[in-house]
Amino acid sequence: MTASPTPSHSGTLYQPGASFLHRLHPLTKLTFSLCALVVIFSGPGGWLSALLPGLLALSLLWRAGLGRLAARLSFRLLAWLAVIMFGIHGFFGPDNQTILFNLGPLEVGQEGIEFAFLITIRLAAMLLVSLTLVLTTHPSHLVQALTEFGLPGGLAYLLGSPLLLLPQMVVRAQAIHAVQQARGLETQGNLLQRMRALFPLVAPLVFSTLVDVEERSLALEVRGFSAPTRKTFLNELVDTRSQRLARRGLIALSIVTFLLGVGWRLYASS
Amino acid sequence: MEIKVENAHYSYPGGGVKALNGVSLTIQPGEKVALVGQNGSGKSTLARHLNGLLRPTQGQVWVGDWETSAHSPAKMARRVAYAFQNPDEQLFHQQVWGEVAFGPQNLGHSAEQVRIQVEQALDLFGLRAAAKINPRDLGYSGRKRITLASTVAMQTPVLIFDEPTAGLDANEQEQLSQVIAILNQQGKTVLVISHDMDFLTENFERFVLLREGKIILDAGVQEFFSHQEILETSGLVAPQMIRLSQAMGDSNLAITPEHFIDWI
Amino acid sequence: MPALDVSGLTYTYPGSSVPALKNVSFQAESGQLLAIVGPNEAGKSTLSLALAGLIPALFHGEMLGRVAVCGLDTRDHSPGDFAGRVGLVLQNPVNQLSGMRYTVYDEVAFGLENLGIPRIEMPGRIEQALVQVGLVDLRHRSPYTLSGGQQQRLALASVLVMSPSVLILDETTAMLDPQGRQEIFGVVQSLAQTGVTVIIVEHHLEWIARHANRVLALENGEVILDGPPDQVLTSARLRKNGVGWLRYTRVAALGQSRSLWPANRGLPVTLKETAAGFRSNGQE
Repeated sequence: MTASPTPSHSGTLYQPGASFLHRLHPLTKLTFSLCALVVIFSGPGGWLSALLPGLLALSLLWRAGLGRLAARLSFRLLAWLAVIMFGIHGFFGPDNQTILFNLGPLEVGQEGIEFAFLITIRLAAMLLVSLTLVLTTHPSHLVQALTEFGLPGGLAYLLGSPLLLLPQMVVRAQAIHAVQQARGLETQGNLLQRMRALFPLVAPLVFSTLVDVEERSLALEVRGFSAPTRKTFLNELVDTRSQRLARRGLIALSIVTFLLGVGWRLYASS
Repeated sequence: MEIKVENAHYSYPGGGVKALNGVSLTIQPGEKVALVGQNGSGKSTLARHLNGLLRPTQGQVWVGDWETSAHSPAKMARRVAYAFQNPDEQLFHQQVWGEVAFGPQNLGHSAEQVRIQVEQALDLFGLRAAAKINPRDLGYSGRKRITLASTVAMQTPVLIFDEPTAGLDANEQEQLSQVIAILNQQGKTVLVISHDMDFLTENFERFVLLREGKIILDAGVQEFFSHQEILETSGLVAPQMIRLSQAMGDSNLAITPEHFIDWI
Repeated sequence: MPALDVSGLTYTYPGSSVPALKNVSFQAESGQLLAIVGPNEAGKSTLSLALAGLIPALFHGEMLGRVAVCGLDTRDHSPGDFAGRVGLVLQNPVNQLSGMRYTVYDEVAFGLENLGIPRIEMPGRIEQALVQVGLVDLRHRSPYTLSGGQQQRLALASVLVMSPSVLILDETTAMLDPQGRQEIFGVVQSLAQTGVTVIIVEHHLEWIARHANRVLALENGEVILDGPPDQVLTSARLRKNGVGWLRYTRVAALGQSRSLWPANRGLPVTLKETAAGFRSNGQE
């Protein structure tokens, strides 16, 4: 087999590769991500429940050779959000009682800082956990896994289709922007001008996307998308007994953690 | 209005290949120019430099006394109107009239002036009766003619048409030929990007051939089609009447069936 | 049994009062290359959808008459039943990609997967389809990095892999440059020789004149002419109705009116015939 020249699947974050994460069955990664989310948001001990899955995800990604990319992506997405969170809650947090220090006329509250810290850690953990799935699983394999699992083909496709329609819509949006500018539409300028420019930009996008969707649905029909037979797949998604066991284990673990979290909260509030 | 492209270079952001690689071109007011070449040869990139949608990374583009880099595309639209290929990427108004009026309104013309320009443009394309119709209720060729009319309605000194015959039937193409002739009589400069060689030879005098971002041939129609080797390597198929002349061994290349018959 | 059997087909879209197709009847044998011409809004695309088994199933509306593809009545079967029997390739190449596949090779597999073809059979069939359209060397590329002509050939391969008996091409070359168009035409010409019935809706009359076995002309939803290209494409009706005449036909008609075209010759539709006609004038 010849090496393919950087096959970009426009719009998705998928990174081609053959690491152990890539080789895991998509359902295993999906189960891991969903269970980790349950733990992150409902586990006992607040930020500690978020930190552990986050660190676990990061170490998995690191072993798969994607740690640097994952860290960079998370940092880029979170950095400004964190600044805003710490700023707003530090200065103006509704629960602020303990004053940590003064910054000019403003007081920085401990409760607000703690809350911002919790939210930031949770978001970071959520991102990293999702990346274990998103970076190493091609959307088509996820759709295939869900179909094989028993999800109706149409529903599985619908879950994957925003990913596939997005890049095409971006190209369209750029084209429409060029067209309307060439007709003298000022798309820069003050808020009023921009608002006025919105309709001539959005309406053609909606219309042409509908035309695309109709043509695509005809093309899919002709290729047997709704054929009554049970689908087969060119590529085999390798599943193993240990992965099936692991998935059950993960689900059990997340239920236990969820219950512990509920208990912990009841205890803490009493 | 004179158009002057001086040694223009352009690379798309992120793309390594030069889409324009040192293009120089002067177009006199009132000329009818066809830009031809394979997809990816740089025709559209060059055309989008003329209305300021793209700005050269090196070199300059002038439309009259305006250097395109100094003006927004919306401002450039006062001098250069551009009809894009796909009508569905521009139509937004509920009525044909409003769609065609959009350009002139953006250019700040008075209401009365807009009305006159819109009516003239609709008449040229035989769309007067459809003025109140929703463009989306029309078929593809109807929508295409609305976009052509909305370009003509701007009454700019320069017009650019990108694949204007795509989706038009023979009668509608004939109508477009007449519109181009009228625009030319008014002294306007008309540029067209097209693969339709039969249409081009019958309506345009000067042919500019691009390949890999460079102009490799720039000539009057008859001389242009006498360069058979260059055309072949650029994937161009000569129009039917020229091929017939060549098959008959005529040194005179016919442009239209009438020419051919007159010369035989 | 003809590959396609259409009799008395009248079809009206839901919400419309005017039928898009009126009393259309024709049969097509296997291996035939049948071109459909007509002015805009003549009903060409509607006919394509009806022949592909998508009308009436997906569009509802009112249908009279009968369309049978490979002996199956389109009203008794769902589009899924016709997949693998009839293929349809449309205008916009990007919209025909499943969008879910990472490589050209996997994209072609999509139809086979839907039909439930055993995994073991797939590589051979995919390989063959890629050979047919000349995309073998690009099999590992992403479909999104291909040129328009290549994407359209991929759309063709994605349909051919399901080994249809009937292939319908609805303005498949309209968005391509001459090179891309030629790529598609090359594949189509070789296909008809393999016994596939090809129905092609096409504006490029010069190609039709040289390669179609038969031309069906539609106007206002009706079949107005049905015959070999040199008869249909030179009819006075087409000259007026928006399809137009080839320049070859026009120049010969003009010559005829000035006695420069041999009186005993019909009007031509190809370069060769036109040149031969003008050369022979006065010698016959």
